Amino acid sequence: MQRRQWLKGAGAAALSFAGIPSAWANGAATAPRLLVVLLRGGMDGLAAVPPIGDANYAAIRPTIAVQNSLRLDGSFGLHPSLKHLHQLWGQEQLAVVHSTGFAYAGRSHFEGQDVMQSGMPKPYTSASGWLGRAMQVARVAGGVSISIPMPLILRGNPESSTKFPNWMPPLTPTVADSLAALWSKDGLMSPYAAIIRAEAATQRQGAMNRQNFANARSLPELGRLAGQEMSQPQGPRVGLIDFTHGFDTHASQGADQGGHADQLLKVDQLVQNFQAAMGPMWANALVVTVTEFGRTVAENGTTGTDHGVGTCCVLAGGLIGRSKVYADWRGLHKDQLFEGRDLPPTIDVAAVYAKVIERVFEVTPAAIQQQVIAHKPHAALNGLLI
Amino acid sequence: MQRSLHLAHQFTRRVAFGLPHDAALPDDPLAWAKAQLKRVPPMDILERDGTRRTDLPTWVQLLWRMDDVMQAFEKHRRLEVESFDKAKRMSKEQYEAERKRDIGTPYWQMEHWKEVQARATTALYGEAPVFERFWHFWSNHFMVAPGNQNNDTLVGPFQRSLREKMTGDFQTLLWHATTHPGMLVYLDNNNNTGPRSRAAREKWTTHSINENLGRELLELFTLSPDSGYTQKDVEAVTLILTGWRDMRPDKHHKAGVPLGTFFDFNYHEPGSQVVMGKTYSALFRPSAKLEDLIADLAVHPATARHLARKLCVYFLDDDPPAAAIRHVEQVFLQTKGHLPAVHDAVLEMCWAHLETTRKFLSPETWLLQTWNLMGVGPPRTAPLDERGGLKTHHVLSDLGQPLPRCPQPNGWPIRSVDWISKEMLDRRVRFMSVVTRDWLQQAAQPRQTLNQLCEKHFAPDNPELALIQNVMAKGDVRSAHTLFHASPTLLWS
Repeated sequence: MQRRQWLKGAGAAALSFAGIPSAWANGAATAPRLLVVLLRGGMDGLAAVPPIGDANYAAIRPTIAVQNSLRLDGSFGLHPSLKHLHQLWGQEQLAVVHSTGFAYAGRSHFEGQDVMQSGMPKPYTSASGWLGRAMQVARVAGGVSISIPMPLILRGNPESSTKFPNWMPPLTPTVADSLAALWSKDGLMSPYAAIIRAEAATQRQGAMNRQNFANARSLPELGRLAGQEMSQPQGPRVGLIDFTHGFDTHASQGADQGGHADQLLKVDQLVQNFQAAMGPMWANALVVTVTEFGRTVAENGTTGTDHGVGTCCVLAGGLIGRSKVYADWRGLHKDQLFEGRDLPPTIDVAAVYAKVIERVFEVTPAAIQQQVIAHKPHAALNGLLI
Repeated sequence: MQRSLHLAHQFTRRVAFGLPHDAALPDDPLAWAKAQLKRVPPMDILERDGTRRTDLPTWVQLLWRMDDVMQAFEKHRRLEVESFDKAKRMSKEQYEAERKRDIGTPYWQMEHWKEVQARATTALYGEAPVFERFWHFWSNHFMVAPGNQNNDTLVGPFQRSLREKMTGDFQTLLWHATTHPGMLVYLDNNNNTGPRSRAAREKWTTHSINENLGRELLELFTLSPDSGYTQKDVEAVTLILTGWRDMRPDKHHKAGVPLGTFFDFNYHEPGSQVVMGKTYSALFRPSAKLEDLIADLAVHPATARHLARKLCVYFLDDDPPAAAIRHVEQVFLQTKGHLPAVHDAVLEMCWAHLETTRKFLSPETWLLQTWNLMGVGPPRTAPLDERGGLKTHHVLSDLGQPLPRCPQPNGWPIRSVDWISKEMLDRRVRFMSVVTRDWLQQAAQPRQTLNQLCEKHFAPDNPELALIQNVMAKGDVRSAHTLFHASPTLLWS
């Protein structure tokens, strides 16, 4: 079969993603929006937000310490890939929580990625994620993951869905209209029949909008797509972008440039594109990063870093109180590290996500603690969001 | 045990890819399945009749000999280094055109296409589809994917090399997978260097320990974290793994040393290490430390439990019956991990618990099943084909499983729930709709074929059957056929 022929058959509609009214019905246009960015592989907080004020930083990372960081305050800098985030810092729209992490310290990617999404202290103990549960408790309609699979973090809310650039022709009415009945007995499939039907109808009527699909699927462009969806008055209030891999820099991770720097650049462009697509809604929006763990403080034997514990969490958007690095910093000397090797998680990152849920969904702290994500509150986080 | 028609067909979809539309149902499906695991079937890019496809350029062939594999790997690496140097001297357009010609086409596009095409055509046209399903399991358990150290040419050879070990003990398979250059490179062990090794002491290298393979050996391949090992154990395993490197035909290659796996004592951490309370030491043969460790891990009760559970989740259900896990685990322990016995046990459990278990097909398994049932094959289009057109690995990518690019070392999801989302479902239905349009032009008697398929796969009282027959009665064969393959019955096995 010819790809070209398929595209031709796609007709007017399939290629359009922008401007499609969503199937989600979501309250007032002024309701805050939340974009969560999953950084799988273990993002190195000491590369993203280097502790330039710590005397041990350069010595413990002879070849991978960041050299030309962008200045935040006397203690911390920002990786030179994060230029847009640095601009946001100047506009009081960037916050960093450092030396933070989950209560889990097993250093396994897969357990860690389960914990960071389920929000449970132990891995593989929940079929739902903290973001999905937060929406359930707040009675907020479903969010959208800009991906093909549905990540665990959004599960638990039956209205949440997925969206990803797709060049295949929209379904014919007969097929689209039959799915609800065909799947009716299947609890896992049936929730999607109505969404698929509605999207097929819209796309059949939609305007021709040829896209470069390789480009449309790049992570920075997915940030734009998320912004386009979420900025609509009835659009989803929650969005998710999944970096499915790329932060697991065991070898040759680089410093100002290199593998880890390239990943950070994608994060920076993603935020920039999301902000541009959100337009005025950016003032009422928040972007927050989630990663399973940080990396060893010392560089390893292959100019990279191994699995660690503490890292940093980056928050950006109009809901930030003021630009600030929140940290209970103990220092990088071996005696000050967790088990002599890792950044200690002195602030429970689950408490950061609890603050986010409280602000965005207006759920009470008690309900968050009991029904969404158990956490150790930290007084320092009180001014994090406005 | 006599089973109704649709259940027997369900079993063929559970343990293989269903039967080709014109194939007869075996009298004893369980025996049919077991018979396919006794020997290793050949693999290649096949024609429908099972012979090797011959219309491809001669340089497009699967590499099997380790020498050839390591030569290709080193050639690719050298081209990358040269290309990097040239970047400074050439214009951007010239540089990119040359890179596409010398590296992009042969080492990414064609390399990945040919391996996926071989995997798909061998599953459909090869002699033992049940063996292929088990190979899909093991090549997922020991995941090696492109993306590290220019390892593109190692991925296919590594995965295919596992086949030969599937008729022996798990210990042999584990040893092979852990020490194959494909794995050593993918998880960075070729640079894992003992801090007290000669190479480190005399500063031949700046490399030191790298825990990547050591951790996954315990976590993914054998014990699983439930067994309670600690960070200290990971570090000890990592030290035992130091010095296990790949020998490639570069300037360091010593004449007469075979290419491939190479234990280099100069990079190995001397002395003994303690893993889970047991001391591993070897006075005269330090490489024996890893042999001893693998021998212990391969038959460890936690390994048996982990593998039994994983096999049952893969083949039976996200929440498999406890009795099924226990049976497979016991066979594993009794036979010290003899894989043909373990595989037979899995098949028996699939057969015994067929009505009460169900698995949602992965995109790859579902795609192969649809082609098999329709009697069509994967698109023949190869990269460089001037006619252009769809390629198998691109379809898989559109469906959410972009082989061979598995994102992480834990492999593709094995649980049903991870393959169900709006996008995943929507894409399967849309794909079927397009494929059906072409099928209707080629198939001799599409309406009759669809009726036969419905008869085979649906119980007479299944409401999905009535719905599809209703659409067909209106003359819309295309929609009916699309809905058949998108029905819960056919999406699950």
